[in-house]
Amino acid sequence: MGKLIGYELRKQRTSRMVILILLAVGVLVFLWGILFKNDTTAGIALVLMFCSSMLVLLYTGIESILVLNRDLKTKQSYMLWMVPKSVWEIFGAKFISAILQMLFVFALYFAAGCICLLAAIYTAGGISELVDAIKMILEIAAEANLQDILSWSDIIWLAISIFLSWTEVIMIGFLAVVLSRTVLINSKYAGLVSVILFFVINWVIERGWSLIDSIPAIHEAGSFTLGYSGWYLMYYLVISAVLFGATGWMADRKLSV
Amino acid sequence: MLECRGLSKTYGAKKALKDLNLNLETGKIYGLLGENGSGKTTWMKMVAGLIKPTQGEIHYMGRPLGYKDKEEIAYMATEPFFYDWMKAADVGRYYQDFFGDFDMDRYRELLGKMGLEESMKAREMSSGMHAKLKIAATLARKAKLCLLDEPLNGIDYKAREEVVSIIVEEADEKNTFVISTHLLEEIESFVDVAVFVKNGELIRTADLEKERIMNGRSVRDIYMEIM
Repeated sequence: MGKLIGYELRKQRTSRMVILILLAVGVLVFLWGILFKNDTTAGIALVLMFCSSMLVLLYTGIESILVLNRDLKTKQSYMLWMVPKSVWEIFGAKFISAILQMLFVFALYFAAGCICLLAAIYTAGGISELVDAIKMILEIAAEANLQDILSWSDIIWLAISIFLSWTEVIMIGFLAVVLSRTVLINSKYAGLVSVILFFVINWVIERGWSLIDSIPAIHEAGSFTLGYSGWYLMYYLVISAVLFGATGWMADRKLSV
Repeated sequence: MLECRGLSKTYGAKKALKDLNLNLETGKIYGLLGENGSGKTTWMKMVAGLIKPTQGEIHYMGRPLGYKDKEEIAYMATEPFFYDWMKAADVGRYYQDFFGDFDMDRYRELLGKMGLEESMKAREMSSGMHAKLKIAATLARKAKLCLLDEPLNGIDYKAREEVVSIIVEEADEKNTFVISTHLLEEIESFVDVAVFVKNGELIRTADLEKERIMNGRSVRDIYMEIM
């Protein structure tokens, strides 16, 4: 599966390079702005980088779904489907590479953010100021007793919930694309129907969780600050497994490229 | 080695294949002949595991055809299908990564014979060069069943001769070749059995040597008679 993942990641390399270059330009413009005391330039660069982060992360996920669509629609599909790998390995590789792609983009933005922050503090007063700033942040955190507001377990739950939401979006996207290339293949509006299906399945899944969470015993189990519980985790894990199973099952029996 | 039972494929209202029954034996070269849209490519893609039959079964080596059989079945599509970013060298690496029967040295040798270089980009190749690249990649596999869809289309006369000589060189009693083509005269000299397909139906199979000896008929004669 490692080789499949490698080739899947290769398909989105151009996007990664474009994001990397644009982000580097953004960081350089920001650095130029603070070095030459041009606050407007630095501010615009920072706002643009911040605003683009969610859009770029969203695009990264959508692109994984578009790549699958291309892998089923064009003649290049033969490259993937002629190899002696099961549909489970192929979809597994696609899913893992989609997650890796997102993590890579997230890491790029995190690194850019760190560079900008450190540069801003450093130019404001040098290394000693930077050390003082870090000390001050730690002291404030200790005084405010952040643990009472946001514990480590909450942060972990938040990361898990983002990961599960992402998994769910990609899985629904994969299922919608496979549906458009299998049961809807003869439909004139297969593409449109699959997009509608994407939103409908998403809504049904969210509604499902709302219904489960309305059960008092389950709702009260969400004892963490952010309201997540083991039920939430289990629900989305089961849903992701069901979506993956449905996609693979459909592809295994019906998919023709 | 390969048995197709009652194979049918429907695209909407169109029937691409109708109840096709065909057995292939090891050690033979088959010519799959028929007009455009007769179902040749559909059948090949089914055997290559790229499309699912609407009805019927395919058995390979006595068992239902599965994804693992792609390790032994090579398929060359008629259209360009390599990824845009690939150079000839990348194509070789891709085949080496996924097919245990791929011989990189043989691939390089075939590229040389076809006048291609490893640094050439697939996207920038002419249709003829692309066809040669597909042939080199497919024939560098030591596949037990090799399906070539229109391998002689779009390539110059010299390269055609080269392709035919490579097929003849590779064919032995342990493997099977199926070649779909419209160029009847080109395949007459090396094809053992001609399979005639029309409107998705198998019309006839003919042992070409027997036909030549017993009836004095060429593949062209049979084709013109039944098509």
